[in-house]
Amino acid sequence: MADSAGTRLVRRSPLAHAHRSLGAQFRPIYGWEMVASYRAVEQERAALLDTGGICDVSDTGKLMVQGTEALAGLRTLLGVETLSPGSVHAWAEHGGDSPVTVAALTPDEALVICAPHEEALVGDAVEKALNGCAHVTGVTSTRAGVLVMGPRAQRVLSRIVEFDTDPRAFPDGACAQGRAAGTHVLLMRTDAFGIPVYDLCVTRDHAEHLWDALLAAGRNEGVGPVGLDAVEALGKAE
Amino acid sequence: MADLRLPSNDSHVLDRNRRLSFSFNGRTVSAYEGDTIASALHAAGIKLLSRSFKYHRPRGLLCNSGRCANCLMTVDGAPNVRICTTPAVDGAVVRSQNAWPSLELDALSVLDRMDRLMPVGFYYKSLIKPKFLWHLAEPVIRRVAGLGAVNADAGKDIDYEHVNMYAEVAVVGGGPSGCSAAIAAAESGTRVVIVDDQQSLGGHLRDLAGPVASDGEFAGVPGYGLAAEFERQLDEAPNVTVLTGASAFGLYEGNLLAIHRGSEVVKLRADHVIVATGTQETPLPFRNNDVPGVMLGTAALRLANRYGVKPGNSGVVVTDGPHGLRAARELLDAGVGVAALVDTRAGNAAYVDSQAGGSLDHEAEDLAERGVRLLPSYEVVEARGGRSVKSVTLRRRWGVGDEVRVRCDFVALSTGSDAQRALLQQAGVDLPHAASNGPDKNVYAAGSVAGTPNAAASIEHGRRIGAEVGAAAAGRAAPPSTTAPAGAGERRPNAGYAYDTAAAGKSFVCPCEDVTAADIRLAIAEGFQDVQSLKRYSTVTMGPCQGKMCVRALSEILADATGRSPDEAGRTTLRPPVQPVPMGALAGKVHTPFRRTPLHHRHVELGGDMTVVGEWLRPASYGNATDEVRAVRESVGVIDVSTLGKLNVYGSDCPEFLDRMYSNRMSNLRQGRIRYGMILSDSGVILDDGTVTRLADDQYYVTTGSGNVDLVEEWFQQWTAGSKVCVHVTNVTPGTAAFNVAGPKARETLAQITDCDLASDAFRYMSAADTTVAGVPARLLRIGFVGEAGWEVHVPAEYGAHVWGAVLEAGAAHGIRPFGVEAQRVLRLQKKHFIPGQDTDAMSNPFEADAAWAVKMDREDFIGREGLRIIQERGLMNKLVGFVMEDAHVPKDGVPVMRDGYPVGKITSCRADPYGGAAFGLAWVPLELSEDGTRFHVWIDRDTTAEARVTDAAVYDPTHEKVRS
Repeated sequence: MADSAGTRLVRRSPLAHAHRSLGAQFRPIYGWEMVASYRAVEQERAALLDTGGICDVSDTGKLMVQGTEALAGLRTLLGVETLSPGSVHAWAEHGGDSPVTVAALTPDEALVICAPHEEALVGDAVEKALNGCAHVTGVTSTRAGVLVMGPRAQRVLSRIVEFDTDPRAFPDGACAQGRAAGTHVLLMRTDAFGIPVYDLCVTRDHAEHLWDALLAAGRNEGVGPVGLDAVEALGKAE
Repeated sequence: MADLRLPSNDSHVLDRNRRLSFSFNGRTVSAYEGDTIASALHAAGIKLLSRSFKYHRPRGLLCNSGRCANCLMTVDGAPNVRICTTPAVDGAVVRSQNAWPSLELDALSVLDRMDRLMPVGFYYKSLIKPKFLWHLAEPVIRRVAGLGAVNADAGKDIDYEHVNMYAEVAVVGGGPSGCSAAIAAAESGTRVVIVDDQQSLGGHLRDLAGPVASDGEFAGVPGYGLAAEFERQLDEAPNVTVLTGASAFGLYEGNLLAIHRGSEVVKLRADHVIVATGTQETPLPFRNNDVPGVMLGTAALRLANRYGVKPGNSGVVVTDGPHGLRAARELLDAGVGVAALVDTRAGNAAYVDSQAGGSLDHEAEDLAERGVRLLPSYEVVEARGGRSVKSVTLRRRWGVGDEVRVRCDFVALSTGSDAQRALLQQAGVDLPHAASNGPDKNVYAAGSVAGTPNAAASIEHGRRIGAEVGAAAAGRAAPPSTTAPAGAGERRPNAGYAYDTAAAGKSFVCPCEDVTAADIRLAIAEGFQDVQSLKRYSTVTMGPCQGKMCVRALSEILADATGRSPDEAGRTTLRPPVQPVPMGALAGKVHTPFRRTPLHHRHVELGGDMTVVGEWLRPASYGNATDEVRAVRESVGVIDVSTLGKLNVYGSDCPEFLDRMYSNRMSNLRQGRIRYGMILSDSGVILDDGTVTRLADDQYYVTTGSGNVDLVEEWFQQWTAGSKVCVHVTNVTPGTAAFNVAGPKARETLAQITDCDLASDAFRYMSAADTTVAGVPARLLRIGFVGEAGWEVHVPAEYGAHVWGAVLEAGAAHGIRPFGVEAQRVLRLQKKHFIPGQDTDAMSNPFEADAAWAVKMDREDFIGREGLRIIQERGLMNKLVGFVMEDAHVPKDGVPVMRDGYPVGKITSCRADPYGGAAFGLAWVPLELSEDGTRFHVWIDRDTTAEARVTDAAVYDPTHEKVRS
């Protein structure tokens, strides 16, 4: 997208200012300007495996699917018999190249998370599968996303998240909503690269507050911010 | 200076290869890695640790387990640190407190001789008349009595935090019963958290170098070895989390355990809680029982067996049971001299007690053979010594005889102990002597707190309770209905508290608050015979130990003095915190999640004075609100209104649904048109106002007041929940940046960055269009509350800063200014637009708020209609009116409207005219004062009122032509 002067427009994360003050290197990703790294990528990658890292993923496409028939439509799409609230599922056959995750939040509400460039494609596919009273709303701009990853991720979360995040109560594939650092969050666990991965979703207006609280909690566990390069490096190594 | 260090032993926790040093009152003290500050001081022969609260008497180590107040010191600036549980750290700066000019020579110890002037409750009896006396005395008393001074700078660099933890089974107490309960519970596969306030698990087993029991499973196993084995098993269990150095200070509803650990408070929520807090030895009241060197038996054992420090060279052990004989033997084995064993039990009966197992006769004989003078049937009358005990005076109980004096340099009091039942009491578990459990509570007692007599029995009991609770937590069995151990309920022998208190010298019951046995008897004689009022009058149990040292003696003396049993005399209530907690840890991190708009940092860069408005951070102004008002009136201004609530409302039933929600009809709104509406409560009170834009047959875009979006979203969802209407509400507030471009030059400004036709006939007032602005997909709403032609520009949040910059750039030629909420307030007031919540309150209805034009009573039912009908029938009582001042006064928001010297109304908003004219605003006045032109008086200050005049017309553009232009 470009304005009348031909300037290419970038979409900025609500945490852009916070990243800048941390000395982040940015890189474009599907129209967004996101953090490539804060220090040497290899250092950040090693930290992810050793202690953990906190990564801004506000660019991911987010679609809210609501309505009494919403989960029924998603069940058909995912090819599963049950889609219980509190669970996260991978959706493979969505027609795009990147992974898509579906988090069932309540009996009539689900959040679909996809790559930034596939939001329209995935949104159309979901829309087509819905019958009766159900709607899709794009909430990418509304919600920021932060990954808390690594061996000490849960310990970091326990300092701000008030509900039970213990691995036994909150295993891979679980999601829950509740209070964290005084605000409302959605937490999903989607382990990858052999390490625990927690995906925190918060409204954009509280994003900086939550980010600051996460960094403060992370400091006590040796867990700091990492950029997308380090996370992708883990994926490649895998 | 004496060196009381013992030779190395396996039971010690010291690393003798690592030496460190710290300063104490300016003197360098050396220690080993593993020492506490107290053990290092004691090893260096420093027995005088503090001065007492009231009389400034010398005090030394008493409990050596972090319970009493005798060792409170200021460590690295933090006051009131219990040095007996604080590890010695190289370079630490340790200072004594509450003494002047020095700990050794405290001038205020003169108070000890003035005790007759300061009996219990003396400030209630004297210092009453004349009244000013108390005000003179209070600061002196506060200065003289007390603990350390608060250092406002200490702890500023400490990162206090709250941590949330969950467990299926929480075990409080890491002694023999707690450890065995946790191990047994973990075998069921459940998540177990064990909490202990000491640095390592094992409880008193850590302080025993000898075998845990003389026969059975633990014969030949040294106590410290078993403690280490427990700790190893728990550390290795994958489903067990061990929290050491963590003090559980409260058990709250829903099995929420509050735990203080360093700079953290852990909030542990557990399905089941096993309380294995054990017992605490308590001191005996006898004359001068507070001389340094007089300590609990467990304190002496801990010094010797854990830290390798002799409590002294020649001790007297005082006991009322087999545990004292054991303590004497352990001390001798450790290489500590024991001169005498005083047993308060009668004669030979002292040595025939089978409960502890083994032949105690043999144990007594053994002690005698090792040179210990056995004194059965004796009691302690007095300790002598100044800054260290020199001797004790003894006499026979139940008979007359000569007093015996024994020279010694320490006294170990193994005279019974008190179950630590605070957490059980807080959970509402009834535990006088046996454990019980309510099915809904899932709180259980294990070990000696439930009444087991010795370590072996505690371990067995812990195992049973742990296994049963673990099975219950795993869903395999019902929780145990009773946890009473065999033999529970039997009282331990009374060491004898009913000593005469008439003799000279002080027998302290409450060492924290300097309350003596004589004080308590005096208070009882004065009529304070209820334990609760006795506590409040005498302050006994109210010190830092919170009754751990004194409540047992208090209860015994009260019972003795009033002819009741100790159970009848009762105990004080054991409220949280069980142990003191630093205020910083209690507070934790203060999370105040203010909402930030997508333009937040742009405002900061522009010099915006960011203030909290509701939950949002908004610029009050960018320096000069008056100039900002003028820019809007004369040229163009732009304000960030991202804080307005924005809801997408979808669904086939939307039109009818919104008709019910709003005072206006919304179903006949044409696509692309906007209508103002109010949301009312059932009784017709204004909850919020905003605009509704129709986007499609089944889609509306609703805006709400800043800060009201959560209320409106919940209100909508409340009215759809459970019904079968197809209406979905999505809050898109945080994802949408919005700003209002307003003023005579707003059209020219926006036209430079959008292709949308903004001509007044093409883009009419109260209409909307989806278009692009500065290359970004945008929704333009031709609305505004500032009384000028203007558009609200709504764009995705991530483009907000870009479009904001484009607007400022486009308006630069017209002198555009960003304006803040203060200028907006003035602009709204000039137009007589009220702000719900500011100009209305929880009683305001649209008729009285002069907004009847936005209510359509002649249509089908809507929420609030019936309430409004009743209000119409009743008739109006007050009215919100616009006013202008008749003089130069500018009344403050909230001041009363006066009539005949009485308040009859209220100014809700008032601002000075930016062009220098009379101030104007909105006010609630009685109906009879609401006619156009009516004059009323406004309170200015105590002596002044000013006159104001009601005006129906807005002070700016009363015909509303500009807004439509």
